[in-house]
Amino acid sequence: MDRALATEHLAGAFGNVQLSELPTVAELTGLIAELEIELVRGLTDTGFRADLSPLRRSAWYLHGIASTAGTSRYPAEQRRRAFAVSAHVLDLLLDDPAETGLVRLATAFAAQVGYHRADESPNAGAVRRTLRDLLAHPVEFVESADVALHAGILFLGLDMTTLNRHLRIWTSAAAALTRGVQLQNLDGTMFGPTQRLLLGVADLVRYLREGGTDALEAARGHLLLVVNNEVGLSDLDTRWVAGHLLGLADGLGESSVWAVLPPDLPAAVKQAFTLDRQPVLTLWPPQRGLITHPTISPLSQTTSRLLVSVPTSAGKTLLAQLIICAHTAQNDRDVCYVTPLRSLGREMRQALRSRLRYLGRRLGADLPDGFGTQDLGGGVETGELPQVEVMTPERLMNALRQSPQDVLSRFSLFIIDEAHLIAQSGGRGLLLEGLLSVLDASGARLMLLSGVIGNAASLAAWTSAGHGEVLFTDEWRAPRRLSVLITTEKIEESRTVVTGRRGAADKTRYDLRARLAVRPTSATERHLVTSNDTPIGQLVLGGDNKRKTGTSPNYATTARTATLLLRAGSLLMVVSQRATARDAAKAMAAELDDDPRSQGLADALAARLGADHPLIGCVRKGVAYHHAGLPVEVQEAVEDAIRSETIRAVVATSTLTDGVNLPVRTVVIATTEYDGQDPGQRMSAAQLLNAVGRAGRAGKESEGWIVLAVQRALRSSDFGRLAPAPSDLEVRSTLASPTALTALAEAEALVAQTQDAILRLPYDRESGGFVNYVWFVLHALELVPSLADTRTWHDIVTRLFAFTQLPDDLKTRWLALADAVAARYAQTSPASRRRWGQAGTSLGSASVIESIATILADEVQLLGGIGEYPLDETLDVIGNQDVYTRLLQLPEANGHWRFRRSPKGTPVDVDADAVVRDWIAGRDLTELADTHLNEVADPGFRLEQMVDGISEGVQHYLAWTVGLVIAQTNEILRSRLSPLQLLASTAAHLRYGVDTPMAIDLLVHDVKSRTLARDLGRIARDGGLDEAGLREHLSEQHIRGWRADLGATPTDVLDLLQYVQGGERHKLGEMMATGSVTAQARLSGGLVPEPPDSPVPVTIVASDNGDELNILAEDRSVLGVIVARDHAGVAAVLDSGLLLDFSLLGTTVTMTRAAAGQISFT
Amino acid sequence: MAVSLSNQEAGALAWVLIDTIMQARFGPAIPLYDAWRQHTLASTQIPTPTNATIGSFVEPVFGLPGAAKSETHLLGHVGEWLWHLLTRDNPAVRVQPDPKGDVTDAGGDGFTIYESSAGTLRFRLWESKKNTGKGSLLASLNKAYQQLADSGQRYVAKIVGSFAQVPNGASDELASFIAEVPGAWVQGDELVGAGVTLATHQVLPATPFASMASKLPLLNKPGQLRGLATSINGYDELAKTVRRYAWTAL
Repeated sequence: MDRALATEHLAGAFGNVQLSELPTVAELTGLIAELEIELVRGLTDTGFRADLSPLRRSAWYLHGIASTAGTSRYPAEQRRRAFAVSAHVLDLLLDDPAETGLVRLATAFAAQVGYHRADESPNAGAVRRTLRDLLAHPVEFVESADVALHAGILFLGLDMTTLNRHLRIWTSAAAALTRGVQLQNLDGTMFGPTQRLLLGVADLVRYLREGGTDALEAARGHLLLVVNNEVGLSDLDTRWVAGHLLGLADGLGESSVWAVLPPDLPAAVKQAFTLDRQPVLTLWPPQRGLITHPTISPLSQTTSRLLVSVPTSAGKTLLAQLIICAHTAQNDRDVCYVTPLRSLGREMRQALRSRLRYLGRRLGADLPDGFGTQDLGGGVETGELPQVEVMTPERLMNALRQSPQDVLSRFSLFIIDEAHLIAQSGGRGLLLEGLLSVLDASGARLMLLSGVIGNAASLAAWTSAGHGEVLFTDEWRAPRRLSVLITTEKIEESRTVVTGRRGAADKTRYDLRARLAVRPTSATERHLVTSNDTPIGQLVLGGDNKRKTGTSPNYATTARTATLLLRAGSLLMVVSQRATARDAAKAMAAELDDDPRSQGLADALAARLGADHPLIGCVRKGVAYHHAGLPVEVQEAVEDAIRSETIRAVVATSTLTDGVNLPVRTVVIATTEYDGQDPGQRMSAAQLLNAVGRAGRAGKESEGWIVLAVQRALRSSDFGRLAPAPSDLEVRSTLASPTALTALAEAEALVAQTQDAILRLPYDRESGGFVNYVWFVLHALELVPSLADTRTWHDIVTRLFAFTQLPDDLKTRWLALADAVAARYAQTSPASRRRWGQAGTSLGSASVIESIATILADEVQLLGGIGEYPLDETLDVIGNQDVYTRLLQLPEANGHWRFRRSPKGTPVDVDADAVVRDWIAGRDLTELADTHLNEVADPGFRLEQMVDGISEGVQHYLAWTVGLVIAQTNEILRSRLSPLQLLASTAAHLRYGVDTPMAIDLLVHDVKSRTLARDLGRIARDGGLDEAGLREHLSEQHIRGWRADLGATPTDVLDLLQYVQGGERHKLGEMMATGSVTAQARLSGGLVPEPPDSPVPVTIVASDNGDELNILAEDRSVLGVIVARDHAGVAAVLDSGLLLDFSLLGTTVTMTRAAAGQISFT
Repeated sequence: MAVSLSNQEAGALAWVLIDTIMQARFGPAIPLYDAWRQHTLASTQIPTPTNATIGSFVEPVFGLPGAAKSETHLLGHVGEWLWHLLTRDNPAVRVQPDPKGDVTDAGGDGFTIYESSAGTLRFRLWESKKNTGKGSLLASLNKAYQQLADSGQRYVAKIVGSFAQVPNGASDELASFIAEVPGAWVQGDELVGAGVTLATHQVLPATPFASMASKLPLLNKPGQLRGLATSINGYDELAKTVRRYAWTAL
């Protein structure tokens, strides 16, 4: 149950006083619960069925007492709760269609005020969003009440883009009036209060964006004049809005980025957040609590260890960005942010890119796990700027394996996000745990961020290792949550007997309907059923009462029920398997019409995957599925689409690390569960909590729904699963799990029997993972003398979190296994032990890879030649030696290269070498499928298998292992003093499916489209262009040329705009530092404004299609456009919302901050 | 109060109203006020561009010639000013803002904070109604009572919020009084009351507000209810005359 409806919370709002004319706390709880239930049920045309007047009166009463002065008889805590409860109710009332016009605006504003004052400010953003259509167009300046409420709602919703746009229009109307009345301002007239209110709002915005307490003071001055009725005839709404903004100014003064971040932190760090297109202006309670913490603030360089454990969507990601930006602005060494969640990594990259650019830092390239930290992109233009890397633990571990010395000395801060995943089975948990114990030895600052964990204190104690208190926890979360259970049940009236044919027993068929149990409070549980007229599936029972063919699968009935919840907002459905994800998405899509918003995405995905791919048909209906078998680019496109609401629903597998990590309005948990199932197959409490935590997008919605699909009759106890107890959330090392003990016992038996046992332990069991880790530690100590000076392998291994949880006898047994590894290590030749340590595969596979590399080295020496082989010759060597086949036989290949004629049909052999060559040659996936899988009749299945094979077989697995083979081959050749080398970047060609180095450079940096990168790579190759040359060429073509000649899509255009700007200084950063910045213009038709030798005032606005930034003369005629190279920079300047003056001289546009940066009414 | 106005009297009243309204709207923009007044009295057009500026001051509630706004709002607004002019000079009144014209937010068209004869502060929320057609007076009044009952709490909450929540010089006495109003309104305590003004052209019955007590049953203490009915023959015409004067010089 959500705290918002807790009895003590409501009772506290009333100060434990019962007013006879208002509902009691119990009645009010029931009324609110009723509204919540109705929202799940769906409202009628006239809105809620319930009588809203008692709720309305209660809400406005509470809002009224909460709004009394600080000195009133209502204590601060009561007022805070009264604000919270009234905000909740008023927010719900916004769904009532009877609230219109100014009443609706007033309800929204009051709800926002309440949320802000109750420290739930993201919900005020959600309220603003509810009214976004209404607020899209500015009302007339003379409509004072509307202006006041619009401005108030936009400001409290922190919608700076719309607010700025409206402020400009209002100020220009006000300026015309001011000139008309021939006074200094409109004070004393009927427009005085509106003008002062807007000045107050503009100054509050200025404070939030640029800091400076003078702006805050100025805002207070304007607002007080309105409140005190001193500046002219005013309406109540204007005074009311002013009164609350005045009251909130103090709160904003305490929660703004400028107030919370330390004063000695460079202003640029703050500006990187506040002047962004989607600015971060205020911080949430957990963020403030941590940053201003007296002893463990992560912004203090003296905090060297930290564990932050907060619920999902408490603002952890932003916190990480703040820590990164603050650190990198003050420290010249690199920062490494590590997250096992790939979609979180992608989100972090997007958010950091412009902030780091603003700070003059760069973001490391987005490389696959196998590539460690090698820089594929050259980084020529950005020089030696300090860098922030965003990577998975696997990639960091690979980097450490390849060059531990470099990695340990390069970074001065590691942030490990989702640290609770050290409990994850399947090798990832152990890898993360092992990584932490090595990083602990590095001397860098180490910050762990995690979701809610049951044993945070013991994890903190381990993190701290004697550094004192390092734990920060907070339970704050803005959006409320509503729990719902769903199941199916027979519609008895639909019972039909199907006579068995040829002596078979009769069967009984029923239609199915959905039953939903909604529980807004612990005391209220209401059941709803879907209409009998629209069944959601069928149930066919045999004589033995067992389900027979014709029964709708659970995923399908759940998917159909889920479509009913789509009206509330975006939805994520979590299922157990990939095939189910696809089929559930299809089932959902079948219920929906084509969605105009998603057609562009569908076209783009069709270009990437082929039109027959099953994902395309789903996306056209606004539904997608998402799993690790899809190409990374496609996963990313789906994530972007759900974020931007281009699609409405996504079905993902429960694999957390590869899953969708984005918040949505509704999360439906529909994993398969049955009696007698291996508990390891079920979602753990932590996984469930993480999935559940995605419900409700802070700032977009004030409430999220969590739906648990149950495949039997509902029980009230099922609700308990959605709120796991701390004991369920305890993080335990995988080495301490029962399966680890079994694996350990088996390993011990094998060691007793066989000499080479260490090489034969399965890579995906805890024993194999542990052995591999110990080997790595030995390898690292050998390569990093400074580490070996202070620590033994025993020190590092016993630093594993497992050693805080294992009983002594098990510690001894694991260490005995480690001794066996150390013994085998000592017996292995230095070259082999280094190669095995670098591989990152199981030791057994590492030895196979080494033998393949030896064969290749022999072959190369036999072939002869000069220097580094080109790509095609390298591929020849690999193909001739059957390298792909050998690699695909290793256990790590994990069935990633298996093809069938039909889903249950016979296997098809596919020649990996031929596919890889066609892939690198740039052929698209449909062509690859048609060529190499022509034995598969169904084009959709053919394509889907090829996509899986390329994505997992080639882009992930082969790119990684071929990379290892080539690196070792080249090393062997060097050790033999041969001048010959295989092409070092071959693995990158496999990863990206392109045939030129320039195409790879484009893809690891800004460009997402393989086709575009391929074509540009060839243009560069054919024209002999280097990176700078290609940028020049693209700038010359300009945006129109990209569209016409390269067929660039809108996404491609955005990517290319980033690419062509190169490593130039951030224009907004330059303007904030110097007051002005220039950009180059491309004038149309050789027009030169008169006079040619003095600057003329111009304005810059986006063209109608958004492609160009037009330069307009005072008569609004188009003089030209901003050149492509400067486009992104100028766009960032415009997006900052600062007031600017522009002038044009020759082809140079100068952008200057308007006088004092203040809004002008004259 | 029932008044039977001759055309001339009605014209004079309309002039007093519009002159007061425009004076309040222009405030210190005295040259504009003077220009508007002189041109209106002389029935001449204000020259451009001044007419546009003056038009902006006329436009709220009245609209502009050729682009009139809602007549309901117009009638309500004129009614509010009538009420305001009739009540504001009462020395007991401590707070009673001039009507700005936010007539579209139903549920309270004005409020007064005044001192009772016992010297304690009292709050009264006013709702104005007009009745211009042939519809029953009772229906108009019932609507007013209903709006006070339904939306009074919101209006009260806004009034509370419109007083600064930070120290601003408002007297302690007033601030602590305001803090009591939301609770008092819920319970119908004696420190709050309601008033309904009715402007009509119809002949008033002897007790036009007879049903008020039954519709607002909580406000059953002495002095909690007030009714102010103004019967002006041709009320509708009066309001339109006010508007015509506002527009004359545009």
